[in-house]
Amino acid sequence: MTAFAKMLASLSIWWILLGFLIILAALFLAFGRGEKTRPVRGQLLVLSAICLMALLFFIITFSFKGSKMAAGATAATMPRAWAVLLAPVAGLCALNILSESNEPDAGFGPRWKMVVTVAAAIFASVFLFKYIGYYLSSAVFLVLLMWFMEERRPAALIGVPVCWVLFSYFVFAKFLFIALPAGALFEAIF
Amino acid sequence: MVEIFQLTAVGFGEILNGTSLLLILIGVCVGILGGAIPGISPSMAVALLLPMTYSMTPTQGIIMLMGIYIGANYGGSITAVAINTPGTPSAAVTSFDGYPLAKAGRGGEAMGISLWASVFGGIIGAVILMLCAVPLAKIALKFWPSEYFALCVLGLTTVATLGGKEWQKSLVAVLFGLLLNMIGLDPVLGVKRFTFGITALYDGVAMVPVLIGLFALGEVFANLEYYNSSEKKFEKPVYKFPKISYYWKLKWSIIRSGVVGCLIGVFPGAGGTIASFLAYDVEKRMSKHPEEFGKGAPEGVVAAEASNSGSVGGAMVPLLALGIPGSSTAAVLIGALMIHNLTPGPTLFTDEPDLVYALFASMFFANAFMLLVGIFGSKLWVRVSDIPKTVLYPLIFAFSILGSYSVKKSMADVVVCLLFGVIGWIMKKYRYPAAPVVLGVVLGRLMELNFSQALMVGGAASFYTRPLTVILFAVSVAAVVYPIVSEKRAAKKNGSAVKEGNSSGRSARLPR
Repeated sequence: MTAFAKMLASLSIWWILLGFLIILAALFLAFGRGEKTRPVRGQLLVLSAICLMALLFFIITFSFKGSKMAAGATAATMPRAWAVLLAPVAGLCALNILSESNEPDAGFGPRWKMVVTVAAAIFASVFLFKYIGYYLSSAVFLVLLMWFMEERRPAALIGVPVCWVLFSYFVFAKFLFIALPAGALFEAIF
Repeated sequence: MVEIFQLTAVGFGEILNGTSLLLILIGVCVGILGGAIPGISPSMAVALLLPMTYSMTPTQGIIMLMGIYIGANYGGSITAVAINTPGTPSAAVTSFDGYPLAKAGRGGEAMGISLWASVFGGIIGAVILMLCAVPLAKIALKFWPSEYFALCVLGLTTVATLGGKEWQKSLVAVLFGLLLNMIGLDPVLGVKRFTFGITALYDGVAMVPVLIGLFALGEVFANLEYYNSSEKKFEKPVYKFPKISYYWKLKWSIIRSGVVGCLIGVFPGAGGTIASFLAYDVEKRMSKHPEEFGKGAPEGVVAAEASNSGSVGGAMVPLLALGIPGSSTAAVLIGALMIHNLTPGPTLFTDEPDLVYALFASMFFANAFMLLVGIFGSKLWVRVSDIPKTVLYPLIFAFSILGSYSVKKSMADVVVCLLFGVIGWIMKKYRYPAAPVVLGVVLGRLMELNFSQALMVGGAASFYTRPLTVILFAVSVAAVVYPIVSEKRAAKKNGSAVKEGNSSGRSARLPR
């Protein structure tokens, strides 16, 4: 167990996420086959993801080094306690989800693709902070997002990003002394 | 008692001048502004303005910072009610009922309730602080870590009622929050836990980005899923504040929650967030219509705001009497006292009685100013819901990113915020409540720290031999079991009633 725990603890977050995705994809397919599980597949997947995280944490606790406190408690005590406590609670939750009185999953809304696009745009904008700086990146992000949302008034498309950049500069950078990322591009120019 | 009143009168005299009153007013305005901006906590607002007090007298500096503290605690509720984006962690509870009220076109009512509850909760806290500082501090002094741990457990049991019918999902969510809290260095032994080689995770998952992600981004993602571009504006909320008589009906809720908030605030580390969760739970249990909580119950807003403001007075008790901060903002205030060469603790009452009682008096003035600023300012703040969605949603995203970054100037916090935005959306979609996650994140570290300290001080026996600890555990168990049992009983009753109805229906149809 300790060797396996050490191996898991040494993995990078990307491998862990990949493992999570593969297991959840398998569960997605498995839940889709059962008549009882299909209508509540989403609810079960969320529960499974939390249980997977707890299981991962529980196993990794066996790799912890360090001294013991009084009464034999270690750094592993609390994570194990929460993970173990989750088992019966998750069982009850699963039973409730599978019960007839439980409401089935709500389907995806008509604009779910917009949510995915916006989430991707935010991640891209944050990634670009490093290169083009906070101000330019957030201004571009605001224009793009407003465009996605079908805002077509030029005054809004120009005014909002400009006002936002001015607000964040004067309030956060100048007044509150929070240095916002300037970006490699501007650092190289100025 | 007479001496307290005499000294408080001296305190009022000390600050009844233009400069002091102006400083309190500025503090309140800055605090409300800071509190209303997601990502700027009361402690951050106080800390940022701390350097400005160098040039002031200790009394002037402290009363201005106190004004910020009080104003920021209320300010968080403005955006919580208007756009479901709690400006401060403690305002998360305000959004449970404040936002549904605003959505139902009762924005002015929600704003008015939160303002008046904040003001009177704050005054209750100040009165209790003034009258009971020493005895309350003595009670808090007697608490062992095992009692703090039990108090946290009691706080967690509130989730049993937050989930309503799907309480199992609430418990899963709170355990998810507690597990998240395990990420980072162990608070006692310093062992690295679940960091996967990411240095930014050594400090653990920061609370503010999680909060902003779950509440602000998650909500906007959920709204975007059903976004309709032809619907350019929010339904125009009614801004009209209710009449004074309306608030009078809520007087007992305000008093109860103010007192609960103040008492919880006394315990170091507990703070306004736990106070608001507990007061919310108390009000829900005492309400004749608990099913309305979470859907726009005025008592829910009262509980959150009165307790949150009441906790300010409570947090000042251990600070002034013992030199122990009752909250993170109180910890910053300790720093403010120290830069003016003052030693927080019991000696402050004997060495600087003028300052202590001026501070008490300033709390009354700050709350009075907050009422004025709130009445005239809320109408402006609440108009954020008039902004078209095409502008508001992008601005909320931008605010969330900036707010989560500004906490520690960390890009990792921004990524955490975005991840929790997506998690919040998924949880909302599948009816897993987000609030218990926040409760788990808030209480997790405190629980672990007190658990470890209790073991070190009294061993495992301290959890079952100390009467107060046992009582708190017993109340916690009752708090979980009672709603479940009563719900099952009600379901049984309804079931038998339906059966009876069906059988009578059948018998009625038979003759046909």
